[in-house]
Amino acid sequence: MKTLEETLKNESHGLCYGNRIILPFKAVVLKIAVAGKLYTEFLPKIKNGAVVNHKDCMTEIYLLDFDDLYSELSKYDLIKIVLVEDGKDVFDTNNHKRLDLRVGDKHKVIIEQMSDDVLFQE
Amino acid sequence: MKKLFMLALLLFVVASFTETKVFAQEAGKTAVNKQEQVVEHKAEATVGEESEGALPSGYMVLPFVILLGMIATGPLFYEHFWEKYYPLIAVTLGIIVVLYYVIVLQNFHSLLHTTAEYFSFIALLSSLFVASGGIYIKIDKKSTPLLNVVILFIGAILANIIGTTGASMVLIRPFLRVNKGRVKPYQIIFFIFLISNIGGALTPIGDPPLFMGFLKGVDFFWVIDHVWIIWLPTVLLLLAIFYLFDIRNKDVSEASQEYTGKVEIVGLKNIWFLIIILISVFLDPNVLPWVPDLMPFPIGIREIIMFAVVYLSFRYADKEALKGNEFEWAPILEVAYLFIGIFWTMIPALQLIAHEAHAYGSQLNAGIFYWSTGALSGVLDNTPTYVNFFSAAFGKFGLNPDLIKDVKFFQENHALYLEAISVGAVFFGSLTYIGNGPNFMVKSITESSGVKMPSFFAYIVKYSLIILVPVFTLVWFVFFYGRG
Repeated sequence: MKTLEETLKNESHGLCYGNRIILPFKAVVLKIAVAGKLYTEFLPKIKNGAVVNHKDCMTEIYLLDFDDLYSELSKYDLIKIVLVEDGKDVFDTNNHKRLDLRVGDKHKVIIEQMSDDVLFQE
Repeated sequence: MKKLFMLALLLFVVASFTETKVFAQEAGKTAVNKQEQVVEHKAEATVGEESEGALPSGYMVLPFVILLGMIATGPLFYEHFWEKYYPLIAVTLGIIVVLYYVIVLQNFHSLLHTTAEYFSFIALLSSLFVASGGIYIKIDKKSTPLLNVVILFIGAILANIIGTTGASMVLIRPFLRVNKGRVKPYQIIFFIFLISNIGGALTPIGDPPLFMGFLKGVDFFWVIDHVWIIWLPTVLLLLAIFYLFDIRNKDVSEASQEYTGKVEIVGLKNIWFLIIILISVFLDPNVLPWVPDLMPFPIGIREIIMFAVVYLSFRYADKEALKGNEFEWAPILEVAYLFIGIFWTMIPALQLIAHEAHAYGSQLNAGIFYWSTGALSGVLDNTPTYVNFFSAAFGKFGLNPDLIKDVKFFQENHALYLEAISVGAVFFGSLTYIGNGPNFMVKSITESSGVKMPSFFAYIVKYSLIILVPVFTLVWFVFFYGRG
């Protein structure tokens, strides 16, 4: 299993199929903003909104308000996400990581640390 | 969804060409008949263009009421359903009205007219949206209440040069960025009040209702000549209220961040596209007779240029600016879908309003025009509302809003009424998220940056009723009460 740090250092990518995003590390998701939508609740059994599942070595995020993220988001659309890596203290805000996810070709999701230029209020 | 939209457009095209046929048949009638028609037209013109033909059934207002009701309640009570299906709902309700007009009333003129207005509206909005989306302003200054006041005031002025949509697009992100760490919904609400609405009351480019007045013959500089005296105190009063709110916002990040004080603009070349949009505003056959009229097509030369600007300003935009602005199509698509539904479903409502306003015109004073135009502009679209009350005011004085000389006479001799309608339409657009196109865009961009905005009703209850209504009442008392 990769850590978040390794993922960013090695420029590893995630995956996207339809409305499902797969991140190559385990994390607690706190907030997601994408295309004018804001998600702070990630309940397991809902029909709309966002759902987060954890597997052994990855985190799955379903953005149920979209059918196909690749076609519905423009290339300038960022999925902004705040998360805490699995095993770290959620209550320590220093552990809160702000990432940009950009859905690219061939199901790739480019994962980058959010720059200070990006507009995002945690 | 696309199929449904195409079906609606197909219906519209059929209706347009049927109307052309009707026009052609009319052209073959005798000169006497033509004279009779002209006389008849003059008599009816005071009722307004929208009231041509039989009045619609009162029940046909229902699709409009349903759509407005859903726009108001959807994001609040069934958000996910609404987010997924609002395009389908808006277009379907619009098609119901289109079919009623085509099949039952056989009134193609209203459909053609309204759809042409929609295309003018969306062409202006989308071109300003895209062209200004390619301009990225970086302000590296520490957020203070005074700086916020300065940005809001500059934005209010800028709204008259590049429209409320353009000014909102250019300034919302710098405004959010400057306030990073202390963004609160009230700041964005005041941004909507001042830059997305009230600021744009000085020129026809500022807000679409005034643009409609300009197309009908109101002088370009008439608005600034007559409305600045109302605009300035209103803007200053709202800025003062904002300042009082903002100095109480102590949630300032005290991090020892250093600021250079620089203001940097990326994507300056898009200013050329904004200039093209501004020039194309005047390319209307009613303003410049040499401009070809492309009727029955619902778009003219102006709209073609504006749609070309949409493509070109995006294609050749500075990529850094687009990235910095996180350019996305969602806000303008939302406006495009919702407003095609609004424009079509409101045809019966506006016809009935125009009819009633004409019937009771003699009892209407400037204050009533101010409040009526305003109240309806807050919940309907302010452009057709303006046009109908414009017609009603002309009817009150036995003038024809389609005759340039009557428009000139009206603007000189009954300026108070035109002021009341102009101010009511523009100012009150800020009452709700649906009062004016940019309101939704600003809300959407703000939420994309992680800031939760108030719901439709919370916006009205917490901000409009408490801040705007008292200010608008003061405007009425000072400028319109007991006059006219």
